[in-house]
Amino acid sequence: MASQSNLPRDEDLLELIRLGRDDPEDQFVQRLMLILRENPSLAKRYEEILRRDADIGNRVKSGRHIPGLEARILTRLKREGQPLSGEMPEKVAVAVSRRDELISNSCEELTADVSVAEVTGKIPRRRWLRWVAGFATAGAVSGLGIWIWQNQKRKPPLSAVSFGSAVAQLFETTLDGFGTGRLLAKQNPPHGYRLSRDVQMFRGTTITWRELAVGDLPVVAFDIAHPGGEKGSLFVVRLVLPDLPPIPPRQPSLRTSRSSAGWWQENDLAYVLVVLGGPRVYQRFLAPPGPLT
Amino acid sequence: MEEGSRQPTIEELVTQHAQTVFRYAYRLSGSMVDAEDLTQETFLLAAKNIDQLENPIRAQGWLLAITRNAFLRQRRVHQVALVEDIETTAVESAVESDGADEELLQIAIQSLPEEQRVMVLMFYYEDMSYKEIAEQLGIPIGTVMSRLSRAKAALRKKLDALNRNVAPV
Repeated sequence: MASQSNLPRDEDLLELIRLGRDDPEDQFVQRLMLILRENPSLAKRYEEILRRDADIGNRVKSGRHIPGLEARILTRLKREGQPLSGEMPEKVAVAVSRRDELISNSCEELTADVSVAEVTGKIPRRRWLRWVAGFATAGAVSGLGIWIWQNQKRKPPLSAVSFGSAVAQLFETTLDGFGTGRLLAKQNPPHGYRLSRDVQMFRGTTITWRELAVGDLPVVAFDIAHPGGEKGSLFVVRLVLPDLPPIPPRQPSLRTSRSSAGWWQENDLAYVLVVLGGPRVYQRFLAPPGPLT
Repeated sequence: MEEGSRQPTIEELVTQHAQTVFRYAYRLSGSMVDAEDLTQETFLLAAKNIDQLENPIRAQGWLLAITRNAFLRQRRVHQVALVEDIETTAVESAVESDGADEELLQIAIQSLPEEQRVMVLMFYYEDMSYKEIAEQLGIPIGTVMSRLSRAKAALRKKLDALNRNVAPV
């Protein structure tokens, strides 16, 4: 079990404590809160560290997609005599194959970009972002393709659960593109797509937005990064579904190994909030319920 | 196992987490080839020990811990050649790279001593707190705090220096 041998320096606390994530009862968390209250210059430094951390964290987690990786792993498992429960589910196989194809196209475009970059001696950031956007689009298209296909086959009207689950998939399939959109503070999203007041914002929260699509249906994703490093996206679709609840559920309606999601309807907009983390993170993205007005 | 959650099959784990595990393995090892080996090793170990996955919701964290431990185990075996290779490998991969920003980050990560690199990745990639890192590595909290703090500062410094060197003229 770890023990505390030395008292940490103030600088260590600024670097390592994440308010909102770490236990508020922790003595070091409380000491940091005191430091931030009493020392504005350290508070400013803390904000800067959080900003850099969010940037580095995003970059560390992003990276190139490796085509065919899943198939090679499964082949190795078979070769090593590991019992597999069956072949890759058909839906997944189609999605992986389609995604790989699209990503391969994106990579070809990138190769062309790199050639230009070599001639000029620099790689413009915009090109790199296009590459990331290509990956994001590829992921989105593959996930949503399945959703549309399923809904073309299934004639019954779209249920809130199938809609919410399909849009929630966008979060993980486009996670590489998280935060690469336009800064909300500098540019408004397309007309009619607005943030929900039920989503909690803090001082230092950064919001960017991206345009995606579900088949012919445009989707605006607001990528929200809280100062504590927590990330979530609010997907907004102009769609009315009768069985969507009128307010966001306090507990996520869907959980995967990485994310939690909930959905609701406000006037003509359907919202799907997906966060990276469990129910507690999800709840921190929701504004506390206020008095009815 | 947590109520209401079904034990995933190994195929499902591969489909959902292979790319994430690969990226982590690449950040740790700095080599695409080593990363793929490490990823395959991770899923092989996961398949053999899948009954130890107590909470399917935490499957990703479980897989990343397997990856990290496999990496550390391999490094202990191949420790001798490590230091000399780091600088060369990182620079070569940057030259061959498709994503310049990504590779600059990778060079900066590889420039950290192995222990600091692992801590930094546990912090940034696994989103662990200093307490969780101390528990996982079996190191005193105070030691983690000072080393991780220094490692983060060193990483930023290296990134800034690399970005200055490749800035457009």
